[in-house]
This record gives sequence, C-alpha cells and structure tokens, in this order.
Amino acid sequence: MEREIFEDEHRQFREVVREFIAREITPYHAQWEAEGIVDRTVFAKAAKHGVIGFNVAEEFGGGGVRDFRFNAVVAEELAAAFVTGPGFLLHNDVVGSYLSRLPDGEQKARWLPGFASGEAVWAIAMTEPGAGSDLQGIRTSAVRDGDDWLVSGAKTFITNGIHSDYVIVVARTDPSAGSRGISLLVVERDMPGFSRGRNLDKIGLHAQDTAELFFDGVRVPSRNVLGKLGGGFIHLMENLPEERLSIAISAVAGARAVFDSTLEYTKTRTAFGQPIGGFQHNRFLLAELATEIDIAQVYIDRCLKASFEEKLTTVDASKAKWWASELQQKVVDRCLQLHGGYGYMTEYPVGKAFTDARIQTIYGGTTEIMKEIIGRSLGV
Amino acid sequence: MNVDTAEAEGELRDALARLLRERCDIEQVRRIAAASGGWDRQLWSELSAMGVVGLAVPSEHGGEGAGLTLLAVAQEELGRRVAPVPLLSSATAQAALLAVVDGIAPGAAAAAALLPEIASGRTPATVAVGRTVDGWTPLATVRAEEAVGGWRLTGTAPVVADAAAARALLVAATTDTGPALFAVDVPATGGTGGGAVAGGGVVAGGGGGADGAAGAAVRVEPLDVLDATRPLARVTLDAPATLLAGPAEFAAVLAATRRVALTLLAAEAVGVSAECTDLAVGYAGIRHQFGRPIGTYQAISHRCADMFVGTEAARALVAAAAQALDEAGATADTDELDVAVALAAAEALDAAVSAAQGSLQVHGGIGFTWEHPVHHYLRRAKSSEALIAAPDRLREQAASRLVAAVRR
Repeated sequence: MEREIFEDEHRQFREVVREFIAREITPYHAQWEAEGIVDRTVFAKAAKHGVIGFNVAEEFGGGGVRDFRFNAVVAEELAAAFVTGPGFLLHNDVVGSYLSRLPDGEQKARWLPGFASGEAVWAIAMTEPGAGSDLQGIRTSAVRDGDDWLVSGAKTFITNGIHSDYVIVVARTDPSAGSRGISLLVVERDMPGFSRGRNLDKIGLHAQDTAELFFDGVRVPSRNVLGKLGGGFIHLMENLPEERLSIAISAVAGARAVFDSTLEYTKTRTAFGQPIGGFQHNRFLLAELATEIDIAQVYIDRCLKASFEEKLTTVDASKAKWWASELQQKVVDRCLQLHGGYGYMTEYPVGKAFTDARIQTIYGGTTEIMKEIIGRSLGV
Repeated sequence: MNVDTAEAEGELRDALARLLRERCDIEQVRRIAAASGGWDRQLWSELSAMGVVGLAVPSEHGGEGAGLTLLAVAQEELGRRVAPVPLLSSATAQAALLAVVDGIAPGAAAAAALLPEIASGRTPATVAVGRTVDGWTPLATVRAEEAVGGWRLTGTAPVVADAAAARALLVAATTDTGPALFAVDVPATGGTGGGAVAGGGVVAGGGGGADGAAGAAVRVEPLDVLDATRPLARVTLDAPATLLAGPAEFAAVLAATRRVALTLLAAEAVGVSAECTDLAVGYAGIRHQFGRPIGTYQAISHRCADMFVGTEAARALVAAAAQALDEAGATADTDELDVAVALAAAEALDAAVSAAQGSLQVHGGIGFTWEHPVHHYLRRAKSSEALIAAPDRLREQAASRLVAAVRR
C-alpha cells in the first residue's frame, strides 16, 4: 500500500542514507559482526552525510531539523539493509532527543558540537542487573559531595557501552524520594572510578557493542546534571514514546525486508516440481504476512504523523511497539520456516534476522510492560 | 491400557455405534429436540438393557463395575450422535451417590438404595447445583428445613440439565448449618397421570404421604436453550427430601461428583470433535471445486489435520483422567486428580468447538444451512463450555494447583 507520510525532502534523504549504507556500512558489516563492534569512525562519516546529528540545532553543527520522519528513514533503511551495527538509532532517536531538550546553554555549547559531528559517541545507562522493567528498582546512587556528585553502582546491557565517550547515567540522587529522587548525570570517559566490563556476548546484533558499566565513587560535577535534579524519571517517561516508536518503525521495516527476500526465495526455490510459493499453505501464509505488515505500517505511519505533530501519546506508542515487534517475531519465524534448511544458515539474511529481531519485544519496554501501560489506560 | 480393557472398549464402541446408527440418526435427534424438553425414551431403554447406564457403578450397587474408563467411551459415542438421552446427568448423580456411600455420609443407606435404581436406567437422575464460570456451588436459592417427618426443600434451581427426564433429583441446597446434598423423588407424570401441565411447565404432584406430611411439588419449566439436544430447565421445588451429605461431607462429595461430570462431559466433547472431523474429511473428499476435491487444497487438508490432532490429544487426556479416577476410587481427593480432569476437560471442550467451527467452514455454505447436521454439533460444543466450567477457568484452576504444589 502506498505510504502517504513522506515528502520529497524525505525521499531525497532516503537516497542519501541508502547510498551511505551501501558504501560505508554494508561492505564492513560482516567484519564488524565478527569483531563484535563497529569501527567508530563510521559515526563521524555518517554525521558528515547528515545521517546522524540532523536533529541538532544548526548553531552547534547539526542539521536543525526536528522531524521524526527523518529518524524513521534512517531506521527503515538500516533495517532494509539488515544492518544491526552502528547504534545510529540510539544516537538520533534516543540521545538526540535528550540532548535537544534537556541541556542548559553551557551544556549545549560543551556537548552538542561533538555529538553533531559524530566524534563523540553517547550512551544512556538505565538498566541494572536488578532493575529492568521495574525502573523504580534502580540502585545506582549519586551522593552529593560539595559541588560534585559521587556516583556508585553498576549498569548492564548498555548499547554503545564500549565506544561511548559520554554516558547519561540514571541514578538515585535522593534515596528517600522514590521516583522523584532519580536524576540524569553525564559521566565522561576519563572520569576516575568509571570502568567498563567486557563487550557482552549476545545471540544477535553482533556488530553492536553492548556492555556492563561500573561506577565506583565517580566524581561528577554539578554542571553534568542533565535536566532537572530529581526529574530523571519524568525525563525518561517523556522520551519513551519516541524511543518506542523508533523500535516499532524498525520492526515493521525489518519485517518487510525479511518478507521481501523470502518472497523472492519462494518464487525461485522449487520442490515437488513447482515453486514453493505456489503451494496453497505457503501462498496463504505469504498473503497473511503481507496483509499484516501493511496494516502495521499504516498504524505506525499514523503514529509517526502524531509524533511530528507532537501528539504521540505513550499509550499509542506502546501499542505500536508491542504489536510491530511481535509481528516481526512472527514474520522472521515463518519466513525462516519457508527457507527450510537454508533458513538455519547464517548466510541467508533470514537466519540472522531471526536472532537479531528477538530483542525487539524486550528492549525499550517489554511486550508485557506495553500491555500494562495500555491496560492501565483502559482503567482496568 | 491392558489388552482386556482395549478389547472391551472395542466391543463396546462397535455395539454402541451399531445401535446408534440404527436408532439415533440425525432426523430422529431433530424430531426429539424439536419437542421442548424432549428426550429419547426408546433409546434410553435400549441403552439400559445393554448395561450402559450402570457401566461405572460397582456390581454390589447394581451396575456393571466396568469403571469410568468404559463409561467415557460410551459417552464419547453418544456425543458423536448428539444423542438426546440423560446419560451424563444420570452418571453424574451416580458419582454423587457413590461418593456418599464411600464417604460414610449420613445418607449412605439412602444412597445405596437409590444407586441400583439409577444404574438400571429405571430412574433417570440429574443433579441440581448452582453454577458459576468456575464450576459448581451449592444453590443459595434452595432452602432445606428439617421438620417433623423429615427434610423439606423449597426454592428454585435456575438451570438443571435433563430435568424433564429425571425421576430423581440430587439437590445441592442450603441448610441453617451450611450446604448439604439431598435426594428428591420426582413423581412420574404423563399426559393423563397425576401431574398437571400448566403454564408451559410440568408440575409433578404427589398426594399427601401416608404419614400425613404435605405433598410434593416439583415444577419443571424448560428453558429456551442453544442446544436443544440437551434440554435445560428451571426447577421449582416444594418437596420432601432425603439428606445424603451434610455440611461436613458436602464439599468432598461435590468435588468428587464434579470430577466425574467433567470427565464425562469431556468424553462427550471428544465424540463431538471426532464426528465433526469425520464429517469435514468426508465432505472434503467428495466436494469438487476448480476441478478437484477440495480436500486436495492445503488450506482444507491442513485444517482437517489440525482437527484430527486436537481430537486425538483430547481423547488421550480424557482416557488418562478416567483411568486415574478409576484407580483412585470415588472419594479420593488429590491435586493430581483435579489437574488431570481439568486439563482433559479444557482440551476436549476447546477441541470440540474448534472442530465444529472448522467443520462448518470446510462445508462452506452448506454448513450454514439448517438441514446440515453440523450446527447441532456446534451448539453442543458451545453449550458444553458453559455446562460446568469454562475451559480458561479450568486451566487456571489446574495452574494454581500446580503452582501451589511447587510452593509447598
């Protein structure tokens, strides 16, 4: 079904992104996957072409465009090319959103130029070994010491965990104030007491560095507090709808990419004297998947429209996130089956997509948490 | 299953299938179901003569002593024909009486006297209980009072299966000291008998007893139901009753009764599921579209395969539950039994609905016509979900017992 959401500038941008991926990412992707991490210069190259940093104000070297459709284009093109490597979505959609709204003037001048040029890699550290879905269980603490804060604790599953130069750490600044005692503090690479664990071994997303981070009395100056002191939880909540929409967008695009390559496969692979796509079961299955992907796309596009009109609600984003990511699970699973034994080989995109996609129903809020949010909004 | 049981099961299946083929075709079922509250008396007496009604009753109580394992097989065959006979209800009443006898409840002697009557088929019986989606409860709307000369029940049971056929009612009523189970005789009625037909309901009235006690009135009003092959009725009572189980024994007796009832209902659902699958497979082999039998299309053949798998899985679970109940005895009360019964019933009830819906879809427009039998099966399957407890609640009950067992 023809999509109605994009305009010429987005279509042109899509060409740029597609070309950038083909030239600067795809040729190196297998190597990055083998190494478990991308070459960090790809961030600066991407910034040069406007693939990242476009949502930073022009005075700090960005593109000055706050339109989530551009974010969507990047997400879709990465998914279409089966790229899991550079954490561009984290950069643009998550960190970019925090940095465009929360820093004061001095912080902007200090942080935005490096962020916009891709020379500085950022990460956000929420999850802890004992705090996943239940963010209120965060134990990392920041204790005031003169003008500074001493940060102690451990974070895990942190995307860009190895490459990051700056880490937005979610920490408890007032242990007695519950969710109002949580703040965001920016920890920098060389601060004493900040260390990284190993690059975690995941079942998918092999080109992405994901790490544990440790903070042992890290001295963080007050000027590195991002947003309101005690307002961390609210800042997280404000940003989650777009983060979840971003996952939903890449889920539908990923599902479509796997579907397209599978459709091609079922037209060329023959068994019992005919292309396997011609068997009624398979034909009906492909028809179902094509239908569901189209329907999901329409809903996601509608959310995307709400997003750039600044009307996206947390409930709508939760619906998009769980539905699209669960659909992606179904699509990669069924498409792998259609590939038979070849689907189990990593040289076919579907085999990799099967493991890469599995995290989508978990990070950014699990399917179960999404349903909690939606359920609560229904008054039940 | 040992060789003897397998042989007995095979013989029973063959004999019943033969009888039902001759005596219970879909036209006969339709005619009987069309009469409000109707049931097949002729078929019932033939089943009684074969010993089917008392299959699970031990021989010392006038039955065949063949256990629930074989009774479940019979119930499955009856389900295949949606036979309008009160076997499920009578067997449920038998289970309650056996639990009373074995549990040495106050009414053990009365129960032992009633059992041979029901087992022989002479006295069809049913149970009147309160209903929730989670299962059975005592009837808050039926009061039991003890007076000179014995107990008396007054009040209304809103939904009772096979009430029009029943000559004995087992009623879960409320006394001043808690719930209790009673037996009520329903005097025989007929067009010219002692009863009177009034307001669409049948009032069975007995005269005053020899001891001068007040007379009995049991009013049976048929309800307008989804599945006319299993009539339901509202029963209003003002009648003398015999105490079977008091508040101390009530819960255990009701639980034992419910286990048997669920197992037999599940067995019947397996029959519904199997027949729907056979109907679909048969039709898929003769109906042609685009030049070939529709069964050669994967959309049809895969759906039929799913129906078959669902039926077989349910049949295996039902057989396991029936065997576990036979081995444990009438009054055994363990989590393992409850879990086996609940899961078998949930699986079989779901399989029947899914096979009936699948069969209707495979039949296309023909399946949507009144003349085609499949809607009777769909009605039976859907109404069975509501008869005792809903499948999702059964699974929840099984899950909570399993979780509780782990926590202990």
